[in-house]
Amino acid sequence: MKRLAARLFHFLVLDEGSTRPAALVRLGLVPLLWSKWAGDFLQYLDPAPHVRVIGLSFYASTTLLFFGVWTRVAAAWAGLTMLAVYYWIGHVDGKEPYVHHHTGLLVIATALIALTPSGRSLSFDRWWALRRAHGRGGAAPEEWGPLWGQRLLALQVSVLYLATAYDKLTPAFLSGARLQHHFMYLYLGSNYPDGSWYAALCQVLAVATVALELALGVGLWIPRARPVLIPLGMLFHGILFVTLPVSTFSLTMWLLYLAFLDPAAVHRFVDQMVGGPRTQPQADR
Amino acid sequence: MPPSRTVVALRVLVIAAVGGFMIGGPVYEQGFGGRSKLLFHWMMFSGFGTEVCDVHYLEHAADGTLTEVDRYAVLGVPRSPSTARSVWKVKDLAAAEALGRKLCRALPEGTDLRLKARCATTKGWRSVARAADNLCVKP
Repeated sequence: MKRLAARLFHFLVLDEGSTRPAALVRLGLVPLLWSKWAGDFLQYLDPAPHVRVIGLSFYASTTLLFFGVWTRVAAAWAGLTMLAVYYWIGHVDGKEPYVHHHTGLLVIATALIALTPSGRSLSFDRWWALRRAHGRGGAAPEEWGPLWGQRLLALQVSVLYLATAYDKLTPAFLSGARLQHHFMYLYLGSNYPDGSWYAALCQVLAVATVALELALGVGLWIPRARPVLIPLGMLFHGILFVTLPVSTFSLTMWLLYLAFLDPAAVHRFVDQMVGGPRTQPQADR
Repeated sequence: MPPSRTVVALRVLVIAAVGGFMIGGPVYEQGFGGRSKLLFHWMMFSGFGTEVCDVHYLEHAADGTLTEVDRYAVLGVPRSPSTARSVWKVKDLAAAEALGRKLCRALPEGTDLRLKARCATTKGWRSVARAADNLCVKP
């Protein structure tokens, strides 16, 4: 038990690895943030003074975050800005679309990326560090850092899956009735299909949804389960995107799967994708 | 170089605070039924799709038999989402009764039209009309 606790502590608090997965999350998050909000903060829309300020902060901080310029500061700034968007404009001003689940997830992910050293890879910060190192004739700086921020991103995904599965453990959902409502509301109108196939299909889909969400909530932490669960999860979220009004939620979940992956494997994969020489995230010590 | 004790302690504090916030939201709201604007919960689509009913209009014959009436055929509109929302997607009992009265006006005088309907709720289907009353009789 003590050994298990020590391993868990190391995994959550002390573990280090390549910073490329966090950098990829950073790069993916900003386009999602812009697709959701950039159109809302245009200055000619004559927003309220605080929305104007939050909007300008949004554009500036997320631009710096995307390009990886002063990334640590930019990430903290963007995280605080997104919290202001969610709590101030969403809750205090009562702009309801800002407090949907998909927007909440984007806000949390942005705040959490500030807890990772994502600027050490795939960033202008990295490029400048390389130039400085080359100028001095020194070794390339490491793409290496603590992984606890990345673990928190993964924890958020896991908590979300388990919470949403728990919420569905009701007779109304498991019987398929709630899915019947969803499909009728969006597609069928008040025209319940003839025969028993519709009820049976909805029940199968409902049970499968809960089973998959529970499996993802736990199984994504298990390396051996990931090759099966990640494609299933991606397919699941892809289907959700096409069939239900989930907005940025599906792509955000796809992106956050990176937080579960072995950073060394992601590092190698990026090397292979760009076709350059194989690099080491950390110098030999 | 391993992190110093201070750094490790700070990390533990942040992880505990952020992790507690993440887990606390669902536990408080879903486990204990609390409501807080500060916390996040993940009860997604829990209230979605409740503005729809499964409606059947039935013609009641003198011998007591009930025959389904095709509302689209009676109103001469296509059975398609492009049809008026009040006909395609009936949101509640009041809307179902209003549609019934519209059907009465299109049907021959003296028709005994009944409504059988159940509407979506977060707890499942709820029966709201059981073909008990003639919609074509003005109250």
